[in-house]
Amino acid sequence: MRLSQLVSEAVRSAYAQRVATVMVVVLTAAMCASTLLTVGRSAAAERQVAATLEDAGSRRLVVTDARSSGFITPSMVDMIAGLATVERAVGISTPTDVTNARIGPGGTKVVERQVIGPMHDAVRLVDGRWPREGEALVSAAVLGRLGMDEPVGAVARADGTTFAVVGTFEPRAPFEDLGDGVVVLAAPGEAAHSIDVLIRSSTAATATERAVLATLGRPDRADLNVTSPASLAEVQHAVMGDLSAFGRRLMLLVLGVGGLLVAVVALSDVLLRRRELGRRRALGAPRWVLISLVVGRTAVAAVVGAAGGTGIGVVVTANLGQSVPVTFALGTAILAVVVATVATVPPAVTAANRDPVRVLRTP
Amino acid sequence: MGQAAALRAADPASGTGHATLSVSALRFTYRHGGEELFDGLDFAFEQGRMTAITGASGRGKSTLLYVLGLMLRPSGGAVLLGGRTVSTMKDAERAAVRALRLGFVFQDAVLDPTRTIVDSVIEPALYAGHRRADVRARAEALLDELGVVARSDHLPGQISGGQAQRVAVARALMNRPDVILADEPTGNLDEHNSATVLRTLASAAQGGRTVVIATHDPAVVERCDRVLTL
Repeated sequence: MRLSQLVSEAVRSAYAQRVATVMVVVLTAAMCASTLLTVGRSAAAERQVAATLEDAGSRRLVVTDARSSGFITPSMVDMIAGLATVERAVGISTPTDVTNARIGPGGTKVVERQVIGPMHDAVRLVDGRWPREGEALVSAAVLGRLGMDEPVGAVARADGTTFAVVGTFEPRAPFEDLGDGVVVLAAPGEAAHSIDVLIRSSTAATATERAVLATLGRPDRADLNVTSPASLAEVQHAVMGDLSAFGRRLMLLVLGVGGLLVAVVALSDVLLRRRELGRRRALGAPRWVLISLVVGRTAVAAVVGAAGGTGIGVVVTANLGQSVPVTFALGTAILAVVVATVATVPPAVTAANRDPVRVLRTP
Repeated sequence: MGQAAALRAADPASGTGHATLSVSALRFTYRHGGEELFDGLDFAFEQGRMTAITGASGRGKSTLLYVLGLMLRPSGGAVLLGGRTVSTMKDAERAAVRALRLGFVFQDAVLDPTRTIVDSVIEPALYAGHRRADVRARAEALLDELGVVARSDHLPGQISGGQAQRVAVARALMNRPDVILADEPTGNLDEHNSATVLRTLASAAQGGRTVVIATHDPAVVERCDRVLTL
Protein backbone atom coordinates (compact mmCIF):
# COMPACT_ATOMS: atom_id res chain seq x y z
CA MET A 1 0.00 0.00 0.00
CA ARG A 2 1.32 3.41 -0.92
CA LEU A 3 2.25 5.73 1.94
CA SER A 4 -0.02 8.49 0.65
CA GLN A 5 -2.95 6.06 0.51
CA LEU A 6 -2.09 4.81 3.99
CA VAL A 7 -2.16 8.35 5.38
CA SER A 8 -5.38 9.08 3.52
CA GLU A 9 -6.93 5.85 4.88
CA ALA A 10 -5.85 6.75 8.42
CA VAL A 11 -7.47 10.18 8.14
CA ARG A 12 -10.66 8.72 6.62
CA SER A 13 -10.70 6.05 9.28
CA ALA A 14 -10.28 8.62 12.06
CA TYR A 15 -13.21 10.57 10.61
CA ALA A 16 -15.34 7.44 10.28
CA GLN A 17 -14.69 6.19 13.85
CA ARG A 18 -15.93 9.41 15.42
CA VAL A 19 -16.49 8.20 18.98
CA ALA A 20 -12.99 6.80 19.41
CA THR A 21 -11.50 9.80 17.61
CA VAL A 22 -13.32 12.31 19.82
CA MET A 23 -12.22 10.43 22.94
CA VAL A 24 -8.57 10.49 21.85
CA VAL A 25 -8.89 14.19 20.94
CA VAL A 26 -10.34 14.97 24.38
CA LEU A 27 -7.76 12.86 26.23
CA THR A 28 -4.82 14.36 24.36
CA ALA A 29 -6.19 17.88 24.79
CA ALA A 30 -6.62 17.21 28.50
CA MET A 31 -3.06 15.88 28.70
CA CYS A 32 -1.66 19.02 27.07
CA ALA A 33 -3.86 21.53 28.90
CA SER A 34 -3.30 19.97 32.32
CA THR A 35 0.44 19.72 31.70
CA LEU A 36 0.62 23.39 30.73
CA LEU A 37 -1.57 24.47 33.64
CA THR A 38 0.55 22.61 36.17
CA VAL A 39 4.00 21.79 34.85
CA GLY A 40 3.89 24.75 32.44
CA ARG A 41 3.31 27.20 35.28
CA SER A 42 6.11 25.56 37.18
CA ALA A 43 8.31 25.92 34.07
CA ALA A 44 7.34 29.59 33.83
CA ALA A 45 8.32 30.07 37.48
CA GLU A 46 11.55 28.21 36.79
CA ARG A 47 12.22 30.51 33.86
CA GLN A 48 11.63 33.56 36.08
CA VAL A 49 14.08 32.20 38.66
CA ALA A 50 16.57 31.51 35.88
CA ALA A 51 16.13 35.03 34.50
CA THR A 52 16.72 36.50 37.96
CA LEU A 53 19.73 34.27 38.34
CA GLU A 54 21.23 35.45 35.07
CA ASP A 55 20.39 39.10 35.70
CA ALA A 56 23.59 41.17 35.70
CA GLY A 57 22.98 42.20 39.32
CA SER A 58 22.98 38.56 40.37
CA ARG A 59 26.29 37.94 38.68
CA ARG A 60 28.14 40.84 40.32
CA LEU A 61 31.14 40.14 42.55
CA VAL A 62 32.60 43.09 44.46
CA VAL A 63 35.92 42.92 46.30
CA THR A 64 36.81 45.95 48.43
CA ASP A 65 40.25 46.90 49.71
CA ALA A 66 39.19 47.10 53.37
CA ARG A 67 42.45 48.62 54.65
CA SER A 68 43.14 50.82 51.61
CA SER A 69 46.33 48.83 51.00
CA GLY A 70 46.27 49.70 47.29
CA PHE A 71 46.49 46.14 46.03
CA ILE A 72 43.74 46.59 43.40
CA THR A 73 46.10 47.97 40.83
CA PRO A 74 45.29 48.56 37.13
CA SER A 75 47.28 45.43 36.23
CA MET A 76 45.19 43.38 38.71
CA VAL A 77 42.04 44.76 37.12
CA ASP A 78 43.38 43.78 33.67
CA MET A 79 44.25 40.25 34.84
CA ILE A 80 40.85 39.73 36.44
CA ALA A 81 39.06 41.10 33.37
CA GLY A 82 40.96 38.52 31.35
CA LEU A 83 39.63 35.52 33.31
CA ALA A 84 37.57 33.17 31.11
CA THR A 85 34.50 33.35 33.33
CA VAL A 86 34.57 37.15 33.67
CA GLU A 87 32.45 39.24 31.31
CA ARG A 88 33.62 42.67 32.52
CA ALA A 89 35.69 44.06 35.41
CA VAL A 90 36.43 47.64 36.47
CA GLY A 91 38.14 49.17 39.45
CA ILE A 92 36.43 52.00 41.29
CA SER A 93 38.11 54.51 43.58
CA THR A 94 36.84 55.76 46.93
CA PRO A 95 33.94 58.15 46.23
CA THR A 96 34.58 61.87 46.69
CA ASP A 97 32.19 64.86 46.56
CA VAL A 98 32.46 67.35 43.71
CA THR A 99 30.53 70.48 42.74
CA ASN A 100 30.22 72.54 39.59
CA ALA A 101 33.60 74.34 39.40
CA ARG A 102 31.89 77.57 38.26
CA ILE A 103 29.59 77.63 41.29
CA GLY A 104 32.27 76.53 43.74
CA PRO A 105 32.07 74.69 47.10
CA GLY A 106 28.61 76.11 47.75
CA GLY A 107 27.14 74.22 44.82
CA THR A 108 25.19 70.98 44.98
CA LYS A 109 27.48 68.07 45.79
CA VAL A 110 27.49 64.91 43.72
CA VAL A 111 29.66 61.79 43.98
CA GLU A 112 32.83 61.54 41.88
CA ARG A 113 34.44 58.13 41.27
CA GLN A 114 37.62 57.30 39.42
CA VAL A 115 37.34 54.35 37.06
CA ILE A 116 40.33 52.05 36.67
CA GLY A 117 40.05 49.97 33.50
CA PRO A 118 38.02 50.44 30.33
CA MET A 119 35.33 53.02 31.15
CA HIS A 120 32.99 51.71 28.44
CA ASP A 121 32.70 48.50 30.49
CA ALA A 122 30.93 50.49 33.20
CA VAL A 123 29.05 53.30 31.40
CA ARG A 124 27.48 54.13 28.04
CA LEU A 125 28.38 57.46 26.42
CA VAL A 126 25.24 59.56 25.81
CA ASP A 127 26.70 62.87 24.68
CA GLY A 128 30.15 64.35 24.09
CA ARG A 129 33.25 62.16 23.90
CA TRP A 130 35.08 59.57 25.99
CA PRO A 131 37.28 61.27 28.63
CA ARG A 132 41.02 61.22 28.67
CA GLU A 133 43.00 60.90 31.85
CA GLY A 134 41.73 63.40 34.41
CA GLU A 135 38.58 64.27 32.46
CA ALA A 136 35.06 63.53 33.60
CA LEU A 137 31.70 62.31 32.34
CA VAL A 138 28.61 63.51 34.17
CA SER A 139 25.65 61.24 34.60
CA ALA A 140 22.78 62.50 32.46
CA ALA A 141 20.62 62.23 35.58
CA VAL A 142 22.67 64.69 37.67
CA LEU A 143 23.59 67.22 34.98
CA GLY A 144 20.77 69.54 36.10
CA ARG A 145 21.67 69.12 39.79
CA LEU A 146 25.16 70.41 39.01
CA GLY A 147 23.57 73.47 37.37
CA MET A 148 24.72 72.47 33.89
CA ASP A 149 22.59 72.77 30.75
CA GLU A 150 25.22 71.05 28.60
CA PRO A 151 28.13 68.71 29.47
CA VAL A 152 30.68 71.51 29.37
CA GLY A 153 32.73 73.14 32.08
CA ALA A 154 34.31 71.36 34.98
CA VAL A 155 33.65 69.82 38.38
CA ALA A 156 35.87 70.43 41.37
CA ARG A 157 36.66 68.68 44.63
CA ALA A 158 36.75 70.56 47.88
CA ASP A 159 40.58 70.49 47.71
CA GLY A 160 40.42 72.36 44.42
CA THR A 161 41.22 69.49 42.08
CA THR A 162 39.19 70.06 38.92
CA PHE A 163 38.12 67.71 36.15
CA ALA A 164 37.00 68.95 32.77
CA VAL A 165 33.54 67.66 31.82
CA VAL A 166 33.55 66.21 28.29
CA GLY A 167 30.25 64.36 28.05
CA THR A 168 27.34 62.65 29.73
CA PHE A 169 26.81 58.96 30.41
CA GLU A 170 24.30 56.34 31.47
CA PRO A 171 25.51 53.51 33.69
CA ARG A 172 25.55 49.96 32.28
CA ALA A 173 24.06 47.16 34.35
CA PRO A 174 25.08 46.22 37.01
CA PHE A 175 26.85 49.54 37.65
CA GLU A 176 23.66 51.54 38.18
CA ASP A 177 25.09 53.06 41.37
CA LEU A 178 27.47 55.11 39.19
CA GLY A 179 24.44 56.97 37.87
CA ASP A 180 24.27 59.33 40.85
CA GLY A 181 27.37 61.30 40.01
CA VAL A 182 30.49 61.84 37.94
CA VAL A 183 33.05 59.34 36.64
CA VAL A 184 36.65 60.27 35.99
CA LEU A 185 39.19 58.24 34.02
CA ALA A 186 41.85 57.45 36.61
CA ALA A 187 45.47 58.37 36.14
CA PRO A 188 47.81 55.46 35.23
CA GLY A 189 48.97 53.56 38.30
CA GLU A 190 46.06 54.75 40.41
CA ALA A 191 44.87 51.88 42.66
CA ALA A 192 41.20 51.15 43.09
CA HIS A 193 39.28 50.96 46.34
CA SER A 194 37.15 48.12 44.97
CA ILE A 195 36.83 45.95 41.93
CA ASP A 196 33.47 45.19 40.35
CA VAL A 197 33.42 41.91 38.46
CA LEU A 198 30.56 40.79 36.23
CA ILE A 199 30.61 36.97 35.97
CA ARG A 200 29.50 35.41 32.66
CA SER A 201 27.11 32.92 34.26
CA SER A 202 25.75 32.45 37.75
CA THR A 203 26.87 28.84 37.59
CA ALA A 204 30.46 30.07 37.57
CA ALA A 205 30.03 32.32 40.61
CA THR A 206 31.88 30.19 43.13
CA ALA A 207 34.75 29.31 40.81
CA THR A 208 35.15 32.93 39.71
CA GLU A 209 35.17 34.16 43.28
CA ARG A 210 38.01 31.71 44.06
CA ALA A 211 39.91 32.77 40.91
CA VAL A 212 39.55 36.50 41.66
CA LEU A 213 40.73 36.10 45.25
CA ALA A 214 43.65 33.96 44.10
CA THR A 215 44.60 36.63 41.54
CA LEU A 216 44.48 39.36 44.18
CA GLY A 217 46.70 37.17 46.36
CA ARG A 218 45.61 38.43 49.78
CA PRO A 219 45.85 35.47 52.18
CA ASP A 220 44.58 37.62 55.03
CA ARG A 221 40.83 37.87 54.48
CA ALA A 222 40.74 40.88 56.81
CA ASP A 223 42.35 42.87 53.96
CA LEU A 224 39.24 42.68 51.87
CA ASN A 225 35.47 42.60 51.90
CA VAL A 226 33.76 40.33 49.41
CA THR A 227 30.18 40.68 48.21
CA SER A 228 29.57 37.49 46.26
CA PRO A 229 26.58 36.13 44.31
CA ALA A 230 27.76 32.56 44.97
CA SER A 231 25.46 31.72 47.87
CA LEU A 232 22.50 33.40 46.14
CA ALA A 233 23.25 31.39 43.03
CA GLU A 234 23.39 28.17 45.05
CA VAL A 235 20.01 28.87 46.63
CA GLN A 236 18.47 29.79 43.30
CA HIS A 237 19.92 26.68 41.64
CA ALA A 238 18.50 24.55 44.44
CA VAL A 239 15.07 26.17 43.96
CA MET A 240 15.28 25.58 40.21
CA GLY A 241 16.31 21.99 40.79
CA ASP A 242 13.30 21.43 43.05
CA LEU A 243 10.97 23.06 40.53
CA SER A 244 12.41 20.96 37.69
CA ALA A 245 12.12 17.70 39.63
CA PHE A 246 8.54 18.50 40.64
CA GLY A 247 7.68 19.42 37.04
CA ARG A 248 9.20 16.23 35.64
CA ARG A 249 7.33 14.01 38.10
CA LEU A 250 4.06 15.77 37.45
CA MET A 251 4.53 15.59 33.69
CA LEU A 252 5.33 11.87 33.83
CA LEU A 253 2.18 11.32 35.88
CA VAL A 254 -0.05 13.31 33.52
CA LEU A 255 1.39 11.73 30.38
CA GLY A 256 1.43 8.25 31.91
CA VAL A 257 -2.21 8.38 32.94
CA GLY A 258 -3.16 10.00 29.62
CA GLY A 259 -1.28 7.36 27.65
CA LEU A 260 -2.94 4.57 29.61
CA LEU A 261 -6.40 6.00 28.93
CA VAL A 262 -5.61 6.38 25.21
CA ALA A 263 -4.46 2.73 25.15
CA VAL A 264 -7.76 1.68 26.76
CA VAL A 265 -9.72 3.66 24.15
CA ALA A 266 -7.63 2.16 21.33
CA LEU A 267 -8.10 -1.37 22.70
CA SER A 268 -11.87 -0.89 22.98
CA ASP A 269 -11.91 0.51 19.47
CA VAL A 270 -10.04 -2.40 17.89
CA LEU A 271 -12.19 -4.90 19.77
CA LEU A 272 -15.28 -3.21 18.40
CA ARG A 273 -13.75 -3.04 14.90
CA ARG A 274 -12.58 -6.66 14.69
CA ARG A 275 -14.81 -7.28 11.67
CA GLU A 276 -13.38 -4.25 9.87
CA LEU A 277 -9.82 -5.37 10.55
CA GLY A 278 -10.68 -8.94 9.52
CA ARG A 279 -12.14 -7.63 6.25
CA ARG A 280 -8.99 -5.64 5.56
CA ARG A 281 -6.82 -8.73 6.22
CA ALA A 282 -8.96 -10.85 3.88
CA LEU A 283 -8.74 -8.24 1.13
CA GLY A 284 -4.94 -8.22 1.25
CA ALA A 285 -3.82 -5.77 3.94
CA PRO A 286 -0.65 -7.07 5.62
CA ARG A 287 -0.25 -6.76 9.38
CA TRP A 288 1.94 -3.67 9.17
CA VAL A 289 -0.80 -1.85 7.28
CA LEU A 290 -3.37 -2.73 9.96
CA ILE A 291 -1.00 -1.59 12.71
CA SER A 292 -0.22 1.60 10.81
CA LEU A 293 -3.91 2.32 10.25
CA VAL A 294 -4.83 1.87 13.92
CA VAL A 295 -1.82 3.88 15.10
CA GLY A 296 -2.30 6.45 12.32
CA ARG A 297 -5.89 7.23 13.14
CA THR A 298 -4.95 7.73 16.80
CA ALA A 299 -2.07 9.97 15.73
CA VAL A 300 -4.44 12.07 13.60
CA ALA A 301 -6.79 12.51 16.56
CA ALA A 302 -3.88 13.14 18.91
CA VAL A 303 -2.50 15.93 16.70
CA VAL A 304 -5.89 17.66 16.72
CA GLY A 305 -6.23 17.19 20.49
CA ALA A 306 -2.69 18.36 21.19
CA ALA A 307 -3.18 21.51 19.11
CA GLY A 308 -6.44 22.33 20.87
CA GLY A 309 -5.22 21.43 24.37
CA THR A 310 -2.00 23.38 23.97
CA GLY A 311 -3.91 26.41 22.70
CA ILE A 312 -6.27 26.26 25.67
CA GLY A 313 -3.39 25.74 28.11
CA VAL A 314 -1.41 28.68 26.73
CA VAL A 315 -4.41 31.03 26.80
CA VAL A 316 -5.45 30.04 30.33
CA THR A 317 -1.93 30.32 31.76
CA ALA A 318 -1.56 33.72 30.07
CA ASN A 319 -4.80 34.82 31.74
CA LEU A 320 -3.35 33.63 35.04
CA GLY A 321 -0.44 36.01 34.46
CA GLN A 322 2.25 33.52 33.47
CA SER A 323 3.58 32.90 30.02
CA VAL A 324 4.57 29.34 29.29
CA PRO A 325 7.78 29.14 27.23
CA VAL A 326 7.00 28.46 23.55
CA THR A 327 9.45 25.57 23.41
CA PHE A 328 7.80 24.01 26.45
CA ALA A 329 4.31 24.33 24.92
CA LEU A 330 5.53 22.90 21.62
CA GLY A 331 7.41 20.12 23.39
CA THR A 332 4.34 19.24 25.45
CA ALA A 333 2.20 18.97 22.31
CA ILE A 334 4.75 16.76 20.54
CA LEU A 335 5.24 14.60 23.64
CA ALA A 336 1.47 14.14 24.06
CA VAL A 337 1.14 13.04 20.41
CA VAL A 338 4.07 10.63 20.80
CA VAL A 339 2.66 9.20 24.05
CA ALA A 340 -0.82 8.73 22.54
CA THR A 341 0.64 7.15 19.41
CA VAL A 342 2.98 4.81 21.26
CA ALA A 343 0.18 3.83 23.66
CA THR A 344 -1.83 2.63 20.66
CA VAL A 345 0.88 0.29 19.39
CA PRO A 346 0.14 -2.67 21.74
CA PRO A 347 -3.62 -2.69 20.96
CA ALA A 348 -2.79 -2.29 17.25
CA VAL A 349 -0.36 -5.22 17.31
CA THR A 350 -2.92 -7.32 19.20
CA ALA A 351 -5.58 -6.48 16.63
CA ALA A 352 -3.31 -7.26 13.69
CA ASN A 353 -2.49 -10.69 15.11
CA ARG A 354 -6.04 -11.79 15.86
CA ASP A 355 -7.57 -14.55 13.78
CA PRO A 356 -9.65 -12.71 11.14
CA VAL A 357 -11.60 -15.78 10.14
CA ARG A 358 -13.46 -16.00 13.43
CA VAL A 359 -15.08 -12.61 12.88
CA LEU A 360 -15.70 -13.03 9.17
CA ARG A 361 -17.52 -16.36 9.30
CA THR A 362 -21.26 -16.26 9.43
CA PRO A 363 -22.60 -19.01 11.70
CA MET B 1 5.56 -2.76 -5.61
CA GLY B 2 8.50 -5.16 -5.99
CA GLN B 3 6.97 -7.97 -4.00
CA ALA B 4 3.84 -7.91 -6.14
CA ALA B 5 5.87 -7.97 -9.31
CA ALA B 6 7.83 -10.95 -7.98
CA LEU B 7 4.61 -12.75 -7.16
CA ARG B 8 3.27 -12.14 -10.64
CA ALA B 9 6.55 -13.08 -12.30
CA ALA B 10 6.68 -16.38 -10.40
CA ASP B 11 3.64 -17.54 -12.29
CA PRO B 12 3.53 -16.62 -16.00
CA ALA B 13 -0.16 -17.32 -16.08
CA SER B 14 -0.98 -15.09 -13.14
CA GLY B 15 -3.02 -11.95 -13.70
CA THR B 16 -4.72 -13.59 -16.65
CA GLY B 17 -6.98 -15.79 -14.58
CA HIS B 18 -5.27 -18.97 -15.71
CA ALA B 19 -3.47 -20.07 -12.56
CA THR B 20 -4.33 -23.38 -11.04
CA LEU B 21 -5.14 -23.59 -7.38
CA SER B 22 -4.54 -26.93 -5.74
CA VAL B 23 -4.09 -28.60 -2.39
CA SER B 24 -1.78 -31.47 -1.60
CA ALA B 25 -2.12 -33.83 1.38
CA LEU B 26 -4.05 -31.09 3.13
CA ARG B 27 -4.89 -31.37 6.83
CA PHE B 28 -6.19 -28.76 9.23
CA THR B 29 -6.77 -28.72 12.96
CA TYR B 30 -7.98 -25.71 14.90
CA ARG B 31 -5.49 -24.63 17.53
CA HIS B 32 -7.91 -25.16 20.37
CA GLY B 33 -8.29 -28.81 19.49
CA GLY B 34 -11.07 -30.66 17.77
CA GLU B 35 -11.09 -33.17 14.98
CA GLU B 36 -8.67 -33.02 12.10
CA LEU B 37 -10.23 -31.87 8.86
CA PHE B 38 -9.64 -32.82 5.19
CA ASP B 39 -7.78 -36.09 5.89
CA GLY B 40 -4.86 -35.44 3.55
CA LEU B 41 -6.93 -33.94 0.75
CA ASP B 42 -5.46 -33.74 -2.75
CA PHE B 43 -7.46 -31.64 -5.18
CA ALA B 44 -6.92 -29.25 -8.08
CA PHE B 45 -9.36 -26.41 -8.61
CA GLU B 46 -9.21 -26.02 -12.35
CA GLN B 47 -8.88 -22.74 -14.10
CA GLY B 48 -11.90 -21.62 -16.06
CA ARG B 49 -14.16 -23.77 -13.91
CA MET B 50 -16.54 -23.08 -11.07
CA THR B 51 -16.03 -25.62 -8.28
CA ALA B 52 -18.45 -26.11 -5.41
CA ILE B 53 -17.23 -27.24 -1.99
CA THR B 54 -20.10 -28.91 -0.25
CA GLY B 55 -20.74 -31.28 2.60
CA ALA B 56 -22.48 -31.57 5.90
CA SER B 57 -22.17 -28.87 8.53
CA GLY B 58 -18.90 -29.04 10.43
CA ARG B 59 -17.00 -30.80 7.66
CA GLY B 60 -14.95 -27.65 7.04
CA LYS B 61 -16.36 -26.05 3.86
CA SER B 62 -15.65 -22.49 5.00
CA THR B 63 -12.44 -23.55 6.74
CA LEU B 64 -11.14 -25.00 3.46
CA LEU B 65 -12.05 -21.75 1.72
CA TYR B 66 -10.09 -19.71 4.27
CA VAL B 67 -7.15 -22.13 4.04
CA LEU B 68 -7.23 -21.67 0.25
CA GLY B 69 -7.43 -17.92 0.88
CA LEU B 70 -4.24 -18.09 3.00
CA MET B 71 -6.00 -16.77 6.08
CA LEU B 72 -5.55 -20.04 7.94
CA ARG B 73 -2.37 -22.10 7.86
CA PRO B 74 -2.84 -25.83 7.21
CA SER B 75 -1.52 -28.16 9.90
CA GLY B 76 -0.31 -30.49 7.17
CA GLY B 77 0.14 -30.48 3.42
CA ALA B 78 0.21 -27.42 1.23
CA VAL B 79 -1.78 -24.98 -0.87
CA LEU B 80 -0.29 -24.34 -4.29
CA LEU B 81 -1.03 -21.52 -6.66
CA GLY B 82 0.34 -21.86 -10.17
CA GLY B 83 2.48 -24.71 -8.91
CA ARG B 84 4.10 -22.64 -6.18
CA THR B 85 3.51 -23.42 -2.51
CA VAL B 86 1.87 -20.35 -1.05
CA SER B 87 0.62 -21.67 2.29
CA THR B 88 4.05 -21.58 3.90
CA MET B 89 4.86 -18.04 2.82
CA LYS B 90 5.49 -15.28 5.36
CA ASP B 91 2.54 -13.15 6.41
CA ALA B 92 3.43 -10.19 4.20
CA GLU B 93 3.80 -12.45 1.15
CA ARG B 94 0.51 -14.19 1.83
CA ALA B 95 -1.15 -10.78 2.20
CA ALA B 96 0.30 -9.78 -1.17
CA VAL B 97 -1.04 -12.96 -2.75
CA ARG B 98 -4.47 -12.21 -1.28
CA ALA B 99 -4.35 -8.66 -2.59
CA LEU B 100 -3.12 -9.49 -6.08
CA ARG B 101 -4.33 -12.97 -6.94
CA LEU B 102 -7.30 -13.82 -4.76
CA GLY B 103 -10.75 -12.30 -4.54
CA PHE B 104 -13.07 -12.95 -1.59
CA VAL B 105 -16.86 -12.92 -1.47
CA PHE B 106 -18.26 -13.38 2.03
CA GLN B 107 -21.73 -14.62 2.92
CA ASP B 108 -22.95 -11.23 4.13
CA ALA B 109 -20.89 -8.90 1.92
CA VAL B 110 -18.88 -7.40 4.84
CA LEU B 111 -18.85 -3.86 3.44
CA ASP B 112 -17.49 -0.95 5.46
CA PRO B 113 -20.61 0.81 6.76
CA THR B 114 -18.80 4.16 6.84
CA ARG B 115 -17.58 4.14 3.21
CA THR B 116 -19.43 4.64 -0.03
CA ILE B 117 -20.10 1.70 -2.32
CA VAL B 118 -17.44 2.76 -4.82
CA ASP B 119 -14.87 3.15 -2.01
CA SER B 120 -15.68 -0.37 -0.82
CA VAL B 121 -14.98 -1.72 -4.31
CA ILE B 122 -11.73 0.26 -4.53
CA GLU B 123 -10.43 -0.97 -1.13
CA PRO B 124 -8.53 -4.12 -2.31
CA ALA B 125 -6.85 -2.07 -5.06
CA LEU B 126 -5.30 0.14 -2.38
CA TYR B 127 -3.71 -2.90 -0.75
CA ALA B 128 -2.41 -3.90 -4.19
CA GLY B 129 -0.58 -0.58 -4.38
CA HIS B 130 -2.90 1.44 -6.61
CA ARG B 131 -4.00 5.04 -6.15
CA ARG B 132 -7.65 5.61 -5.42
CA ALA B 133 -8.04 8.05 -8.32
CA ASP B 134 -6.43 5.63 -10.79
CA VAL B 135 -8.87 2.79 -10.16
CA ARG B 136 -12.13 4.63 -9.61
CA ALA B 137 -13.16 4.21 -13.27
CA ARG B 138 -12.63 0.44 -13.11
CA ALA B 139 -14.63 0.23 -9.87
CA GLU B 140 -17.52 2.10 -11.49
CA ALA B 141 -17.34 -0.12 -14.57
CA LEU B 142 -17.62 -3.23 -12.37
CA LEU B 143 -20.54 -1.72 -10.48
CA ASP B 144 -22.14 -0.95 -13.85
CA GLU B 145 -21.69 -4.58 -14.96
CA LEU B 146 -23.40 -5.71 -11.78
CA GLY B 147 -26.22 -3.16 -12.09
CA VAL B 148 -25.44 -1.10 -9.00
CA VAL B 149 -23.51 1.84 -10.44
CA ALA B 150 -26.39 4.17 -9.60
CA ARG B 151 -25.62 3.44 -5.94
CA SER B 152 -21.90 4.26 -6.19
CA ASP B 153 -22.02 7.11 -3.75
CA HIS B 154 -24.45 5.52 -1.32
CA LEU B 155 -23.47 3.94 1.96
CA PRO B 156 -23.98 0.18 2.48
CA GLY B 157 -26.85 0.92 4.86
CA GLN B 158 -28.73 2.59 2.02
CA ILE B 159 -28.78 -0.43 -0.33
CA SER B 160 -30.46 -3.84 -0.18
CA GLY B 161 -28.77 -7.10 0.84
CA GLY B 162 -28.80 -8.30 -2.77
CA GLN B 163 -27.18 -5.11 -3.99
CA ALA B 164 -24.60 -5.33 -1.19
CA GLN B 165 -23.65 -8.84 -2.29
CA ARG B 166 -23.27 -7.68 -5.89
CA VAL B 167 -20.98 -4.92 -4.59
CA ALA B 168 -18.97 -7.60 -2.76
CA VAL B 169 -18.60 -9.52 -6.03
CA ALA B 170 -17.42 -6.34 -7.77
CA ARG B 171 -14.90 -5.84 -4.96
CA ALA B 172 -13.65 -9.43 -5.40
CA LEU B 173 -13.10 -8.78 -9.13
CA MET B 174 -11.42 -5.41 -8.62
CA ASN B 175 -7.78 -6.59 -8.84
CA ARG B 176 -8.47 -9.06 -11.69
CA PRO B 177 -7.63 -11.99 -9.41
CA ASP B 178 -6.69 -15.46 -10.63
CA VAL B 179 -8.94 -17.08 -8.07
CA ILE B 180 -12.29 -16.08 -6.60
CA LEU B 181 -13.25 -17.65 -3.28
CA ALA B 182 -16.89 -17.30 -2.28
CA ASP B 183 -18.29 -18.39 1.08
CA GLU B 184 -22.05 -19.05 0.76
CA PRO B 185 -22.35 -16.05 -1.57
CA THR B 186 -26.07 -16.53 -2.06
CA GLY B 187 -26.89 -17.60 1.49
CA ASN B 188 -28.81 -14.43 2.34
CA LEU B 189 -30.18 -13.60 -1.11
CA ASP B 190 -33.48 -13.96 -2.90
CA GLU B 191 -33.77 -15.90 -6.15
CA HIS B 192 -33.20 -12.91 -8.44
CA ASN B 193 -30.11 -11.66 -6.64
CA SER B 194 -28.75 -15.21 -6.30
CA ALA B 195 -29.06 -15.64 -10.04
CA THR B 196 -27.22 -12.35 -10.69
CA VAL B 197 -24.37 -13.23 -8.34
CA LEU B 198 -24.00 -16.76 -9.75
CA ARG B 199 -24.14 -15.45 -13.31
CA THR B 200 -21.32 -13.02 -12.54
CA LEU B 201 -19.19 -15.72 -10.89
CA ALA B 202 -19.85 -18.06 -13.83
CA SER B 203 -18.85 -15.30 -16.20
CA ALA B 204 -15.60 -14.83 -14.26
CA ALA B 205 -14.93 -18.56 -14.58
CA GLN B 206 -15.64 -18.45 -18.30
CA GLY B 207 -13.12 -15.63 -18.48
CA GLY B 208 -10.50 -18.13 -17.27
CA ARG B 209 -10.59 -17.51 -13.54
CA THR B 210 -10.71 -20.25 -10.94
CA VAL B 211 -13.92 -19.88 -8.94
CA VAL B 212 -14.42 -21.81 -5.71
CA ILE B 213 -17.73 -21.62 -3.86
CA ALA B 214 -18.38 -23.09 -0.40
CA THR B 215 -22.10 -23.83 -0.26
CA HIS B 216 -24.75 -26.16 1.02
CA ASP B 217 -27.31 -24.89 -1.47
CA PRO B 218 -28.14 -27.61 -4.08
CA ALA B 219 -29.12 -24.90 -6.57
CA VAL B 220 -25.65 -23.40 -6.40
CA VAL B 221 -24.02 -26.82 -6.60
CA GLU B 222 -26.12 -27.43 -9.72
CA ARG B 223 -24.61 -24.38 -11.41
CA CYS B 224 -21.02 -25.42 -10.74
CA ASP B 225 -18.80 -27.39 -13.11
CA ARG B 226 -17.23 -29.53 -10.41
CA VAL B 227 -18.11 -30.51 -6.89
CA LEU B 228 -15.79 -31.31 -4.00
CA THR B 229 -17.74 -33.03 -1.26
CA LEU B 230 -16.12 -33.03 2.17
